Formats: sequence, C-alpha cells, structure tokens
Amino acid sequence: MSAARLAVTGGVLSFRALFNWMRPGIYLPTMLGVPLFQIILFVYLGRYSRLHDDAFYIVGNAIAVSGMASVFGMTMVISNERYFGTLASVFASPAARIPLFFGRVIPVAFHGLLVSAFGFLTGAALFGFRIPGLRLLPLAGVVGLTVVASAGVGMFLGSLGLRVRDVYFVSNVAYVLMLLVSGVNVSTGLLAPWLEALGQALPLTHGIAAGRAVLSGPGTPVLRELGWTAGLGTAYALAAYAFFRLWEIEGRRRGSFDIY
Amino acid sequence: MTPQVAIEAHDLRRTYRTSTGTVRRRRIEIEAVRGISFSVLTGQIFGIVGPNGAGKTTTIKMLTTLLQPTSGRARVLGFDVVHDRQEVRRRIGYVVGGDRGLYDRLSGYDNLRYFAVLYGVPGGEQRRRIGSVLELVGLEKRASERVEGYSRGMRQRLHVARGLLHDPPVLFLDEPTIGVDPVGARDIRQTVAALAAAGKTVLLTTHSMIEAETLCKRIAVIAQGRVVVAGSAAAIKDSGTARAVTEILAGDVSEATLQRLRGLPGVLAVSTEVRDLTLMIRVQSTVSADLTPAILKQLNGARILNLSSRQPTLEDAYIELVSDLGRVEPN
Amino acid sequence: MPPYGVIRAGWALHLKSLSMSTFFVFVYLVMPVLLAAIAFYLFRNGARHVSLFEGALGTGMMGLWSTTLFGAGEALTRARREGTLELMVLAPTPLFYSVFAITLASATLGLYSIAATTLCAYLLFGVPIEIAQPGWFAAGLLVSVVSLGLLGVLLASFFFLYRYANALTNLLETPVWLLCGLLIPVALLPGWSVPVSWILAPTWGIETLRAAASGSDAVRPLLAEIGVGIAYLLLGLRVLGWVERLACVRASLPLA
Ligand SMILES: Nc1ncnc2c1ncn2[C@@H]1O[C@H](COP(=O)(O)OP(=O)(O)OP(=O)(O)O)[C@@H](O)[C@H]1O
Ligand SMILES: [Mg+2]
Repeated sequence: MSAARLAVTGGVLSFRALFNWMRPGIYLPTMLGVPLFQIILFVYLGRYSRLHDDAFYIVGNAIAVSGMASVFGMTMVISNERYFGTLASVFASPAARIPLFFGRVIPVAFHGLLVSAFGFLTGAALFGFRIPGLRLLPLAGVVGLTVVASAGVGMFLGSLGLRVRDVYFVSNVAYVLMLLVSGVNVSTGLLAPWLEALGQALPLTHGIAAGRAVLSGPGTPVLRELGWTAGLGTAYALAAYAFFRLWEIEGRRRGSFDIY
Repeated sequence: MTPQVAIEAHDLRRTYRTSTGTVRRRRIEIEAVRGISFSVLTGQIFGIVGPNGAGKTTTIKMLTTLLQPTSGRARVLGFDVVHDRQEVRRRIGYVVGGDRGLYDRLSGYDNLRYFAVLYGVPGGEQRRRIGSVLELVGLEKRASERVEGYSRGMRQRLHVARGLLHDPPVLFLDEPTIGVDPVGARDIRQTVAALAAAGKTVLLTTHSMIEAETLCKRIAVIAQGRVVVAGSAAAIKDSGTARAVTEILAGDVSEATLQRLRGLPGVLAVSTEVRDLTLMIRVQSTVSADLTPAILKQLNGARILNLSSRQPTLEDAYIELVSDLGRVEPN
Repeated sequence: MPPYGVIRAGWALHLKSLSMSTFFVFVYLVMPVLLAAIAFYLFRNGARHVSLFEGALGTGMMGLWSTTLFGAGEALTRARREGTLELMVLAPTPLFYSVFAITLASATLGLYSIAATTLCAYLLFGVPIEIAQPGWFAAGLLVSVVSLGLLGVLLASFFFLYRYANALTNLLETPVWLLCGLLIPVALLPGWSVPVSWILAPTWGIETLRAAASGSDAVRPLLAEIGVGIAYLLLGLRVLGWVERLACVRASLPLA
C-alpha cells in the first residue's frame, strides 16, 4: 500500500520536481515543436532521396520522439537530484528503493505516449498518414512498450548522471545516434555492420521494427521484436538500478552525496 | 527511573580519501573525525560546536546513516547506524543547513508531500502532519508558492519542517538557524526547545554560542576531529582558564601601554579590536579579583570611553579552547 | 569606427570557452556528423542520385546554423545567470559589438562542423573532396561565418526579451535547415518557403559553397550573402541600441 503510493504519488511529484521542461513556455516548443519539425525534416529528406515512403519516416520518427521524451525525461528525473542537492535527503529516508526508483517511470511513460501520439497526429495532418482502425490499438501497445523500454535506457543514463558530470551530453549523443542506428530513417540492413550491431542493442530499434510490422500486418516478427524490446528495456533498467544502489553504497563509503 | 541514552557515539572515526591534481593525481587522506565519543540522553538537546572543518557535519552524517564510519560505533535509540540503517532512518529527522536540498520547482507544500511519501506517513495523516509542521515553522501562508522564490530563511524553515514531518523521536539539525533572521532564528530555537520539552532528543551543530548556551543542556566543543571538552555551558566556561574579562573602550592607546597591560600579574591575554576611532581592549585574567584599578593605572593618559568587567562567556571560553589548537583551514 | 580590439578579444575568449563546452562539442561536432551519416545513407541508397559531397556541405552548414543559434541563446542565458549582462550594457563599448563578439565566436565553431562532415564523408564513405574554385570556397566560408554572426546578434536581441531563449533555440533549429535548402531543395517545400529563404544567410552560403565546389558561378550567391549580412548589420545596430535603452527604462535586464 505505502509502496504503491511511493511509486505513484512519489513518481508524479518527482516528475513535476525534476523534469526540466515543466513550464508551458519551455514545454511546448521543446516537446511538441521539436518532434513536429523532426518529422517534417525526415519526410522531406526521404521524398528527396527517394529511399523509403512517407509512412516509413512517420512511423520511425513518431516512435523515436517518444523514445526521446523517455530517454531525456528519465535522465532528468533521476540525475537532477544531484543538481538540486536532494540526493542526501532522499537517501536518508527509509523509503523502499525499488518503488522509489521504478515509480519514476510511470509519468515519464505516460508523457512519452503523449508525445508519440502527437507525432502520429503530425504525420496524419501534414502528410495524410492513416492508420487502419483495427491496427490502432496494437500500435498503441507497441508504442507503450517502446516508451517504457526506452525509459530503461534513460534510467541507465540517469543513474550514470548521478555520478558523471555532463550526462546530458551523453543523452544528446544517444538520441541523435538512435536516429541513425535504430532504423528511424535508414533501414538497419543498409548500415555498416558495427552500426547495425549497435542498433540491435537498443530497445527503440526493436520497438520501431515492431511498430512497422504491426502496420504491415501482424505476425511473428511483431512478437519477436516486442520480446527484444521488453528484454533490452529490462536489462537497461536493471543495470540502472544496480548502479543506483551502487552509488548509494559508494556514497556512504566515500561521502560523495553532496559532491556535484 | 534511569534516564535512557538516545544517541551514543563510541570512538567514531572517519577518513576521507580524495585526490588532487588533474595531470599528476595525488591521493590525499583527510582525517575529518578522529575518535569522537559522547552520549545524549532522551529528551536532551546536545550541541556540537567547533570551527569550520572541525568534523561536525561528518559526525552528523555518520549518525544519520549517510556516511560509513571508518571505525568506531554509534547507536541511535539502540539501533546501530551501520547495521540497522532502516530502523535508524525511520526514527530520525535530519535537517541540513543551507539553501540547496529542496525541489525548487515544487511548492513548499509539495516538497513536504514528497517527503511524507518517502517517509511513509500514512495517507490519511499526511495533510494534518504537513499542516502542523508548516504552522510550527511559520510557513503556512507561503506554502503554496514555488520554493525557487523563497528567501534563504524560508528555505531553512522548510528544511526544519521536512525534518519534523514524520514526527521522529530523534532530530539531527546541522546549523538549523543559518541564514535565518534574528526573529526567525529565535522562533526556530523556541520550536526546538518545545520539541525537547515534549520528549524528543535533539543533536544540533551551530556556530552561534548564544544558541548553544540557551538551547543545549550539554555541549561538545570539537576541533580537528576530536572532542576538546564536553559538558554543560557552565562547565565549559569553567574549563577555560579565564575567570574575568575586562573590556575597555579607549582612544589614544599606544602599543607600549598594551605591552604593560600584558605584563600585569594575573593577565592571561590582551586582545584588541579597532572600533571607528577607538580601540576595544579585552583583558582576560586568571584572578577573580578586580583588576580595574591596576588597569586604569596603566592606561593613564589614554582617553577612556567605557570600562566594564564581566564573567567570561561561552564564546570567550570557546575561542580560548579552539585557538590553542590552531584553526583548521577549510579546504 | 567599430572597435576591432573589443571584437577580437571577445571573439577569442568565447571561441575558447564555447569550443570546450561539452554541449557545444555536441552541437558543432557530434550532431553534424551523425546527421551527415544519416543523409549519406539516404543519398547513397535512394533512387535519386544526390552527391554525397553536397550532403556533407549541407550538414556542415546545418552545424553552422546550430552553433550560431545555440551560441546566441547560451550567451544570453549565461550572461544573465552570471550577472555579466548588466556589465555588458554598462560598458562604454556599444552593446552591439560585445554581443557580436560572442555570436561571431559561435558561428566560427560552424567551421568545425563543415570540416567534420566533409572529413567524415571522405574517411567513412570514400567521398572525394573536390573543390573547383578554392578561393571562392574560402570566401564563401568567411562571408557565411560573418553574416551568421550578424544574424546571431539579431537572434540574441530577440532572446533578450524572451526568457526561455533555450527552448526557442530548440524550436528554431530545424525549420531554418529546411528553409535554407541545406539538404533538400527549397523547391520541394510549400511555395511560400522560397521568398523566406532569400532573407536567410545560410541559403546563399550553401549556394556559394556548392557553386565554388562544382565550378559554377559563385559570385552571385556570395554577393547576395554579403547583401543580406549588411542588412543584418544595420538592423542589429538599431535593435540593440533599442534594447540598451529599454534596459535602462526597465532598470533591470534579468527580468526580461
Ligand atoms: N566528501 C568529502 N570528501 C573529502 N573531504 C571531506 C568531505 N566532506 C568533508 N570533508 C573534509 O572533512 C573535514 C571536516 O568537514 P565537515 O564538513 O565535517 O566540517 P564541519 O565541522 O561541518 O565544518 P563547517 O562548520 O564548515 O560546516 C574538512 O576538512 C572537510 O574538508
Ligand atoms: Mg558543517
């Protein structure tokens, strides 16, 4: 009961406290404007190069922007504790660490879904992209899972950010790298082998593949890709949690909670 | 009925390892706390005073489970701060001084709500608890504003409120009145006194000797990671060698005159402080006998504006105690 | 007579500090290279034949715009935070020049982007670097940096008045890439984009570079870019004078 409240109420409060783009003046341009133009840019680039059709870029980027919202959101929601100097107070509390840590995914994931929905709407409004009614729900499911799995990557970066300076550099690089290697704009088969391998290690890659597979007709590839998405997301999240606990133990040993 | 020990520290030590230099890294060890022992009885207010870098915060962090002692043991309400961390955390409130450590973008109320959740304050009680701690620190009118707009003192009060949220029996306050205006500081002191009267145990650090003297039943003076002296304010005053202090506000005092004052029998130290065009001369002596006539005789020729004799204060004793050891430069 | 000393000193200072900020390393180096790689894959595999070298120049120019934009935003955010904004206004040098020193420095970082994307094309994708008219190419780079620096002043004065400059910078990045035809011809965009593209310096900058590289007429776009740059200069002087006066009226810059 109190664990559930810790996860839900605590998660929401920490999102409001730590998500940098809470204010409308910052939020609207960043979280809606950037996805909008990203989709426009790549659809036009696709049309110009005549590599894939519009739908390829719309699906890829609409899911990718939700991944971005997740990665950045999660990074902030964890690593900003250091920026505010609140880490010591949090670690001084008896709160159970598992709900404390994983509860923060909840608002981030909802937010990612929202951003993704906006991305698909952009595709629909500007480029006449249509999703067959029956596919809508499975697609939402795929996006939901991808968002949560990407939050795992964000968690991982966020945990690193509790110790490493300039974690946003890493998040920024990670995001643009995903645009290259995750099959957002270039199908992964065309990439150099090492880039392709890199892409396979990211949940977003499999989430996007699953999303495209859903739209082209459900079947085994969807389930396989979803399995990979979930598995990779879990792996990142667990690694993140391990780091988080490690920092706590190490912080107690070295006295490094307030050093930022 | 024997009094219960709420906090006990036994030969606590803590060494920090850091490195300096970017190119040629050199490992350095800082012995922040070098064997501190004390105990605090239930319902007592115990003060730790000492110069910057003496190891006060380090000691508090060890007692609040945030820092692993290098050696030694400590217990809070019978629970070991290393092995029974969760038990300790549930029972203590921890207040840090300073203006960081709050969620700037949330309102004061929401900051408290978050910590109420972290401390597992039951949902039904939350509202009431938050309301009562806000009232206690006098923030109830501004609680709905974002913390980023708070003044330093308001932040400090919010810190105090946060520490009280789960109604802990033991409180650790690290410089609770830092940055708070005199009236606000008095309010916080009154709050702390009332809490102790209600049976809570308080361990606080402060740089204000007046605060330590008015509030604390017992005080430990620490310097360079060791307890120099511990006891009641009166006992600490006695542990200093000075028995009387004569303060003279005078003009046209020559260095030779000061030398003569230093030579008087029974005089321990003569310190001076420039005040506008005059000099404040402070003569500490070991004899309780009145030195005034002797001093006046030496000051013959100087323009004396004021002269008074008083008992040494805690501050006098403190300065004497810690200046013997040499100040630890904050690094 | 503009105070060259002030500009040179400020430029050197900010160039050094910006080129070491990790965020700017991302903006001028990492992002252009990754975007270039995306463009290369699309151009190499797509049905239309697009020169990868042009793609490299385009993504490099995208970097030039990004550094200018983020430089202008960051300069103000930082000056506001550190309280040096008032000092800049108070100093006897007109605000225009102290701001120009910053925006010129950030635009200069864009040269790294162009170098990085061309090198990436050469090293990873085997694209030969062939420049038919190196002189005009160099002139194109120089004029682009200066006129983007001047455009940066206009942006900065706009950010003076808008507190969330950083959010706005995110918003302005991609549209200008599109409107200047840096990767995709403007002709593919909706019709109103064409006249808008004419008033943006990067449009002429990329055209000059492409022309100089391929050996066609580079003089016309270069002159056009100089013209646009002069317009930015005149406008910037006026607008910043106005901002300065406004600062005195409001008695405080940080509240902007
Ligand atoms: N995390 C740390 N790493 C290395 N050294 C530290 C660390 N924290 C504290 N120290 C050092 O330990 C010593 C004691 O510091 P501490 O913060 O306990 O002093 P303090 O008595 O609280 O001082 P103040 O009155 O200034 O708050 C100082 O020399 C300080 O530099
Ligand atoms: Mg301290």
